Amino acid sequence: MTHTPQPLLQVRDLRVRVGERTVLQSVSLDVPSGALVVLMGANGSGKSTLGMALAGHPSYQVDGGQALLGGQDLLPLPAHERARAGLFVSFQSPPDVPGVKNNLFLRTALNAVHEARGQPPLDAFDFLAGARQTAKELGLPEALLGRPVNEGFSGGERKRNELLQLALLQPRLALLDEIDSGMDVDGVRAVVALVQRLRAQGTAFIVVSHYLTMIEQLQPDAVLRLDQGRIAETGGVELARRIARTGFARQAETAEA
Amino acid sequence: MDSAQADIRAAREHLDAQGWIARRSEAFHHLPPPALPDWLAAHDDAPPLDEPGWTLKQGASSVQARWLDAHDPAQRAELLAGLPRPGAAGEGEAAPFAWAHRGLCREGLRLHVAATPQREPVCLQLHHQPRARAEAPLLVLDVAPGAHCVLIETHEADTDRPTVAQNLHAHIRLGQGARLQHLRIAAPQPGDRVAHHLHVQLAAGADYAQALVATGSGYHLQRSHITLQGAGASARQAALLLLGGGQIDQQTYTDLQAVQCASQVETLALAQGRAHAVANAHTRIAPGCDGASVRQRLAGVPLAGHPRLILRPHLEILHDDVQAAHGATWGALPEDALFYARQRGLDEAAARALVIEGMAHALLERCLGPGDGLLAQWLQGGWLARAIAGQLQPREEIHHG
Amino acid sequence: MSSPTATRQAPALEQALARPYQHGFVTDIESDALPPGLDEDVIRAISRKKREPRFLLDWRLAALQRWRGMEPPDWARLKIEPIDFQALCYYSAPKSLQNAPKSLDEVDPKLLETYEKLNVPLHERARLAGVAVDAVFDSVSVGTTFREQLAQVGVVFCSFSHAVEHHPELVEKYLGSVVPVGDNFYAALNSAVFSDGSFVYIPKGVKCPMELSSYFRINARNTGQFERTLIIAEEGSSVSYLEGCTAPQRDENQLHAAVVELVAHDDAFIKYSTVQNWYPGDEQGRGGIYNFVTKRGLAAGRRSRIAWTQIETGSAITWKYPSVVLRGDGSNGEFHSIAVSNHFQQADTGTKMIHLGRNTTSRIVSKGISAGHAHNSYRGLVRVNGGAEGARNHTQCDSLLIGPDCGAHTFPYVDAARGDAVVEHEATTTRISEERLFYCQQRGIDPQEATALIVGGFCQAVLEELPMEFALEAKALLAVSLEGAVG
Repeated sequence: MTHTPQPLLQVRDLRVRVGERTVLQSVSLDVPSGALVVLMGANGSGKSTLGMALAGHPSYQVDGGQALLGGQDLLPLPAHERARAGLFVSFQSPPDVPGVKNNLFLRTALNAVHEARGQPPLDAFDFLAGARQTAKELGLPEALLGRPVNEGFSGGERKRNELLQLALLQPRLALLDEIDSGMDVDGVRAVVALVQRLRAQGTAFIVVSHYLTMIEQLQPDAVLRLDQGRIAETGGVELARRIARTGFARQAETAEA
Repeated sequence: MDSAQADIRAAREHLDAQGWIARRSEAFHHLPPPALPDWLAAHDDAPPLDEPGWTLKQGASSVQARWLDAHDPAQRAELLAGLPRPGAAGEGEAAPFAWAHRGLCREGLRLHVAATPQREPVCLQLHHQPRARAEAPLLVLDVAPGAHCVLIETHEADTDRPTVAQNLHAHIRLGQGARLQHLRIAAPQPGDRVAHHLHVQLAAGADYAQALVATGSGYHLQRSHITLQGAGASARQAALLLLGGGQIDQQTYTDLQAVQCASQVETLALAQGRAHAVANAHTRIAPGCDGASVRQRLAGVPLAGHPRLILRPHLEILHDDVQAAHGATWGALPEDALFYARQRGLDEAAARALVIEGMAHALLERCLGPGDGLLAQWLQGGWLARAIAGQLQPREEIHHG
Repeated sequence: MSSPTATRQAPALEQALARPYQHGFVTDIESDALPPGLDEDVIRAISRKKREPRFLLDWRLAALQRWRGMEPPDWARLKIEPIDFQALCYYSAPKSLQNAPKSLDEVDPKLLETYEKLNVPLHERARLAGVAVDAVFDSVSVGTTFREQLAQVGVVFCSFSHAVEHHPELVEKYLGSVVPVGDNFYAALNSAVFSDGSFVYIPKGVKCPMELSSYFRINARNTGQFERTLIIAEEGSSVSYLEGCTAPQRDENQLHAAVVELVAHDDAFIKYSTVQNWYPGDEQGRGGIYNFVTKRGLAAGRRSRIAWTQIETGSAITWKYPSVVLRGDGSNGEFHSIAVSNHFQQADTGTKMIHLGRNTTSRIVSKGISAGHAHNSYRGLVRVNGGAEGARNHTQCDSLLIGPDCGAHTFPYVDAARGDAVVEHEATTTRISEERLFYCQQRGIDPQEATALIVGGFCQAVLEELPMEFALEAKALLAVSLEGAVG
């Protein structure tokens, strides 16, 4: 694995607005390859906003700041090119895509990324074999591969479908937003296993969660607390434990990561 | 000849030149209206009206009411002030009715409802009694910005009277943020020929809910044209058609012309015997109307005999940031609901009546809201149950395979 | 044109040339042309050139009479330049081969690019582009085997003109029985001047062993203008017929007014699939084809079934309502359609299901896609007559708008006169949700491909009804039709 001098993800003074409201005032953080950062914060603190802004969602306006992925300026790129550059952002409520089978969707996405990397496209057979195996590992019934994307999927199944895509796309950086919601203990264990496997291969992670058990299993390199659009506090797992005990009480000082 | 007579004469001449409703008319070809002479009377020898057609019951000071004589030039000018000329955009193929109205109208009522300081709803009960064999009544209602008005408008015969050909026009304008809940009851006598034309304009943020309960007759046209002119305006229209016989042509035209507007049109036609009905809902979304939301639902329920129903929910959509859906169904009363009622001890007839009343109530409530005061009084007062029973007495059963 | 198939087929070619055609694939046309205009003399001339029997000439003349008393239909939503019917030529010789492109090198590169995108086989591209191709060779290489198979089971599949000559009693019995001469303006016109088309007859109990494609029947040039097709399925028989192809088709005649009549007897099944990609005009909407078609199926027999499946992506103006008259007890009608309009196209299409017999059923699934400055209207009628005991219909009609300048209109009509009928019509109109588009993009799929994916998903219910041959090309066709619609 190549050793890059700078962190894989560099975010500087990011300022993001949704409609009239500025949700992120100024956010800065670094995430090196293979690192895992947990992002915590009260509702409305802007956790999901960071992911959507980095992904390039049209409703999220970046009013200032910078974001580099592997040294490449992310913000001028359209959403699909950011994805092809190796960015994966999971959706809090993944939408359905009527009439488009999960297989077809996944294969199309995978081949788009392959094309960007100069790799040959997968044919249906090769793809399906890999997809089935991964689905099994994640506890997703094989039948879901043949159904239209997310149509009739429960909340937990949708989240697992996100993970299936994560596993197949193998991005450089993945931002997982409340990936544990709707999942049971076994599901969470599977998430952790997948994340650690990808992390060992160099994928960096930003995980938005408040589920302490999963956070501890993930062994994060850092825990960040987002408050009123800024990173108010940085720490390790101990910070997560404290928040779990006492909640999101406001702190006097703010610290930049 | 004074200006009033001149105006009347000009309208009749226009009508002669343009002709009546064409046979090929898309809007009217299923149930063509009676010929022009039926709607007019020679105006020269018409006796002056001894009593006005409109009577109003209200007790609020925030309402101004003016009864005006259309044959007096000064009053005519006041009566027609601000109203569009017949044939203006929106009337479409019904324009001849508007010209005929100009040529015959004898009297009209202009109402102005202001906002109350406490923002309470102003409740009005309006009743219309036909006064001539052929007549063209007029109603103009202005609801001031911010005002909230509840209007119950009834057209029903208490006693036997000679049949009438009635070409009624109403112009309703809601100012910014105004709100009108409008319950209309149109129950003509079987031999009557009736055509009601409502022209409604909504300013920004205005909300209009119209519930119509109508029965069949020799000829019965209920036509509403609702224009949402200002941003955020919304309109709900519900029609309950109780058709033991006779015919009815119900047409609702809705025009969305601004952003963030919403429109809902619903019709429930309960029909039996040889009733013949047409339910049209035509909604148009103009270019640029971001965030438009449109729903249409037309349902026909045949209860007995051989009623015939034509449902036309039409959508004309010229913008992409819209959510529009419509449905039309024709089919018997829901079996499961009937079975449930029978299971609870009700006999066939009672179960039917219960289910039908339930559907009717639900329709009206969806449109007008649960209602309090005047509205609640009327909805729970028993008229509906009586009308349903009167129109829809069980006759032969329909057996399903 | 040489191709690998040519050398292999050479001996067969010799044999075929020596043998007279069993089903006339080439219609005999003298090389004169008639001046523009339409009157009795033109009709007589056409009928004489085609050596038609008396009944057909009389039929054409009666149609002309009816046509003269009719007005072109005036649907509010279509903007059509008035057509001067007296300025059209109703009979002309095959286009001179001297002006045709000599090879693919002389063909418009944009056209070739489209063929490439649609994976049209090489030898087809030449034919479609109007390159002078040996017609005999073409029919032999493609048609020989299948004609033998059909002959074995007694299936008649030939040109309409050939049917008039060899099966006049069938033509006389069924012509105009489903679409009478006075049905509408364009049907009357077609009845008077129709040139040629397909004729299919499936005998009792025969399930036609293969899908019949209009492509196999060599079109004499310029017969596309007023096509007349008649398909008859006797008791217990079935057939699947394919019309058109995904490749864009040009024609110097702007007006196309075809008539298709289907008749299904007891327990018979006819499936008629169309993929139409007539030239829609340039990006400004100029010069495209007007496609006015009257298609109707008569489910005459008990338990008979007729299914219309179509993908319409071409034409400047499309006006067609493939319909089914459900006369036989227990008969069933189906309509599955995708209509795409882009740039300045206008489409007013839909279907009519007329329930007459007892226990009849019908199903309508319509998907309309509008983009650019196009207008797409669905016009559907479900009529349940007083005698149609137990009729059932379900309609699902959805429209997708791409971009703020197009229009999607839905005009359904439910006309029910029967208390025990059940009719349900549901329709939605929306645009591609931003959220879905963004979801695809976040997974690396670019907006153009994401739109194609979502549109394909939107149309899935109809794509599944298409015969395999069309289904594979259909998605590519949808993608190509919507090019430029998404920024």
